[in-house]
Amino acid sequence: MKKYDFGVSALLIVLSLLLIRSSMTLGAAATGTAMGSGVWPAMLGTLLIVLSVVLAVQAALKKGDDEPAPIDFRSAGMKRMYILFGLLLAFVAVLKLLGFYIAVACLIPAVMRLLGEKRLWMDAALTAGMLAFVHLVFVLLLDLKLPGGLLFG
Amino acid sequence: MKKLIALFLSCAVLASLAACGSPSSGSADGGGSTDSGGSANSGASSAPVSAYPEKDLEIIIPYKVGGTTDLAVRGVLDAIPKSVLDRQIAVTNQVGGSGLIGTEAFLTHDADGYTLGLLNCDLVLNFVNGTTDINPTERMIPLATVEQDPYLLLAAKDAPFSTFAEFIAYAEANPGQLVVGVTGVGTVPNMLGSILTKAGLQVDSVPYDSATDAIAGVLSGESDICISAMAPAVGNIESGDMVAIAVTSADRSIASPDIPTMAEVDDRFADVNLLSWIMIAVPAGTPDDAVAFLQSALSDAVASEQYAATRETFYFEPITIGVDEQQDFIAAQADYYKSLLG
Amino acid sequence: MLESLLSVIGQVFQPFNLLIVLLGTFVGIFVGAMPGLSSIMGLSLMLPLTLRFEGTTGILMLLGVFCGAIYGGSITAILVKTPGTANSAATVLDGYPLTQRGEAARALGISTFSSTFGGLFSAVMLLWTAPLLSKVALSFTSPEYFSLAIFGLSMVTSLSSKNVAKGLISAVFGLMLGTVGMDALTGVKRFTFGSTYLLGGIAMVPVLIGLYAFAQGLANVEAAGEEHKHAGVKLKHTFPRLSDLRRTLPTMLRSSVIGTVVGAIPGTGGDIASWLAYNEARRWDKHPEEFGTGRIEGVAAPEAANNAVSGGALIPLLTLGIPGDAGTAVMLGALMMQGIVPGPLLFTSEQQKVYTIIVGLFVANLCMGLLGFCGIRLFSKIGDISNRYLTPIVFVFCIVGTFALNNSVNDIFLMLVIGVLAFFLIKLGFPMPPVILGLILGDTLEKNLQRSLMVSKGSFSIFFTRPISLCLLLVAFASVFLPALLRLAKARRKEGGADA
Repeated sequence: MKKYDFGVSALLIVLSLLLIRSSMTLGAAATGTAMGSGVWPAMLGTLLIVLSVVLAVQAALKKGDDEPAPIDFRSAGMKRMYILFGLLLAFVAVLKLLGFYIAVACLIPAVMRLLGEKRLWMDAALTAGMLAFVHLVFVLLLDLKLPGGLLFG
Repeated sequence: MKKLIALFLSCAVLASLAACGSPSSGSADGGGSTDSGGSANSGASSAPVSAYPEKDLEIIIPYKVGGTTDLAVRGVLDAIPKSVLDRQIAVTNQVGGSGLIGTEAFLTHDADGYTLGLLNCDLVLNFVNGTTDINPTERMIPLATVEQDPYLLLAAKDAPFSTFAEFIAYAEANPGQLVVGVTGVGTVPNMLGSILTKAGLQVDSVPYDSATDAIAGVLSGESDICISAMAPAVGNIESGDMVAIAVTSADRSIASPDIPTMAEVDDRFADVNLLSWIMIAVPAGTPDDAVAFLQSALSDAVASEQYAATRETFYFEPITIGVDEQQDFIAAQADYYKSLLG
Repeated sequence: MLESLLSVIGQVFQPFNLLIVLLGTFVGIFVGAMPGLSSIMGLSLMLPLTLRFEGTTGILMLLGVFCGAIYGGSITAILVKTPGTANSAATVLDGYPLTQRGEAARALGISTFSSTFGGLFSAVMLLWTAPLLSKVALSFTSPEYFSLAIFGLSMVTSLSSKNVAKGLISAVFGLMLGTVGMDALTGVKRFTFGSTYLLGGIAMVPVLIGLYAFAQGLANVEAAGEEHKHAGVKLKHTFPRLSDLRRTLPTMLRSSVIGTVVGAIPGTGGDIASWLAYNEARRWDKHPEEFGTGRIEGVAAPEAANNAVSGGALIPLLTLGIPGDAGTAVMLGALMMQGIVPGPLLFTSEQQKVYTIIVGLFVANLCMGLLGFCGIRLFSKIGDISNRYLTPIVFVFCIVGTFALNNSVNDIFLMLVIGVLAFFLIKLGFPMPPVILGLILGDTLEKNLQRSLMVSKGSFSIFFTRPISLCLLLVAFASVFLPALLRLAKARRKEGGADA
């Protein structure tokens, strides 16, 4: 955990410095009686730096590292996550290109497989059921125009 | 497994219950388009002239459902008789960024006459002040005006002034003391600050989130006057808790003719003509037959008795801008905003 | 007064009117439970329908939607960690652990009861204290809003008892999300990277769905193999046990008061009220450390408070013509379409109409309770579904709900990004509730700081010279530092005792 806390606080300090720098261009000073738009983000950035330092000091003061690493990048669970992140990227692409229905029709069985469902008919049933429900409630009842994608838009 | 079936059954029951429950709610106001896939995109290739509304239409309202803009536009759409337009007009609300998000979405659609949008005072202002690149006069063709109203200047009943002339005198006698409640940058009421400053009055204009918040500011004593349309203020005007000291239009209001205009009271405000207005529009390049059809259908609906009733519940004034005068009106308002910002 | 009240009661309790209220409440519960669908959407959906009814029937229907939607959010919050609306974000904290323990039905029973309790309480308050509370509403100006937001933020320290620094970082992250978009007071575009989508700011709902529901879905996928069986406690009654009710009664009362008052203040709604009530419930409890592990008080407090907002928010609407929250802003339009002009005159000269609304609110809350208790058995089944099926279902609802909010594909992308980010932040020990709190309060905080300084011409004394503002700041200060000071004092005393 210690290592990660150091990492996070270093990352946050860099981010807040960037934030403060870009706040400067937003009108950091007060114009007339109005507070400039950059003042508040700059305040938040400063606060974040202070908190990150506190976090780092906290981690440094902790004797030993009894807590296990929060993320085990090689665990089976994380491997599933990598696949899922890939799936989500694919989902976004399919959503943009082919629209909502096809994207969801791919996402549901893929996620079910990932979770260990092996029966094909089950995949099909849940997918069909969800699509029917969404169509019924959101499209027919609520007049929502689901994204059609570039091809069917 | 049994549980899953139970879940599906319950979902289905829920959905069908809801379906019986509110069948007419969606379609009642010209929603209810069952076409799910294609938005208006079927190629603008030359369609036969007479056949114009060949399919359902869509209108993108860049403001939230249930707000006054939304209700006014829906009121006009409702007032189009079936004999004129036998197609549905599906309403889509896309909120955010002072209406710019919905307006950008609207302009990405083909100019085929099947997607409508709004052109209002705030859009023109945001073009003039550089927030957006969308030039409404170049990118859109106005079809009909659904709302045009002056704003009111409102003071609390126990304010040290009860007329606009007294307000000016008070502001001059107490420079820097008065707080004027307006709404955010990028909305037309915000320009009141520039108007007063240009006339040489030293007041602080403080932006609130909405007209009702600005009214609350006056009632709580945080600000001395505020600017608002009639509808949000009418309850407090009728009860006498607030006094309308002036209207911001060039001419007096038709509905409340006894409130003086700013221009009448003082020459420094001679050119003041700050108005709230909303037009329904199509993207530039829309075929002429579609434009002509929609212009006549919508302006008839605006003039109908049915819409007049809607209008009156929101204290909107009668519409006086004719179809042909719209472009000139927009240009004049744009010039006016420029003069205020410059 | 009594006579006209009785005649109104006779009118509202006609079978047709009751049926309409029931229908409105049903629709409300449905849109409330669905992530992304809001009470505002439900209200405007029913609006055209209400115009077809004569007289007050339409208003009754809208009141049903209004109340039902607030309650509906708690169902999915408790069962699948997916608050349907921001109002129920605090309910997740103890509601979901209860579900994990197999006590979903108990949690739902408590939430239904306390929602109804809060709603009925606020209806009574609307009847008896409206003129008084409208004065409270008008005593809130920019400095008071600022101090209230500071007070709200002060609870971050208690929400993140494990590691306060991490909790505060989360809150700052939420506050920073709130700075994106056009600054309405100066017109400056901040962190928009030239995109029109970001110009409008980061919307609450996609972030809420991403942080809770989607991140939880991701965690389910990671933990897929080791699916833990729920304890499967069988519940004989859906109505809460008497002992539970007795235990939560003080919490419900306190939360209802908080909800009514916060609702009556224009611009603050159920989202803030539910967090404040949760925090107060924790503060006054003998075992605050147990909160977050499935305490029924942690469910009762936010639910009583957010439903109490319904009556509270109607107070400024009916007495001043100023809506108390987003839902009542739609009600304002709806009432005007019914020919009712909300404002000071309404309460004094048209009592009949005001009574109709109050009695309608009362009936709507009863209907809500009725539907809720009937549905608990059905709802609690959702908690029993295997994650294998529930997870893809939750994903789809996250996606479609986010889209439904504003017809925006970009909202879906935002939700996905926030969800993935939250997944890692949770792993690194950063609590998520402070992020939501920061996002809820960020806008209020900054805008009212700006406004206050405009009014005071740059002087910070405005926050300390106004009594309400000063009180709120003092309480905020005390709640951050008092626990630490008390601990210090205790330690001292012990030391002193040892010396002597």
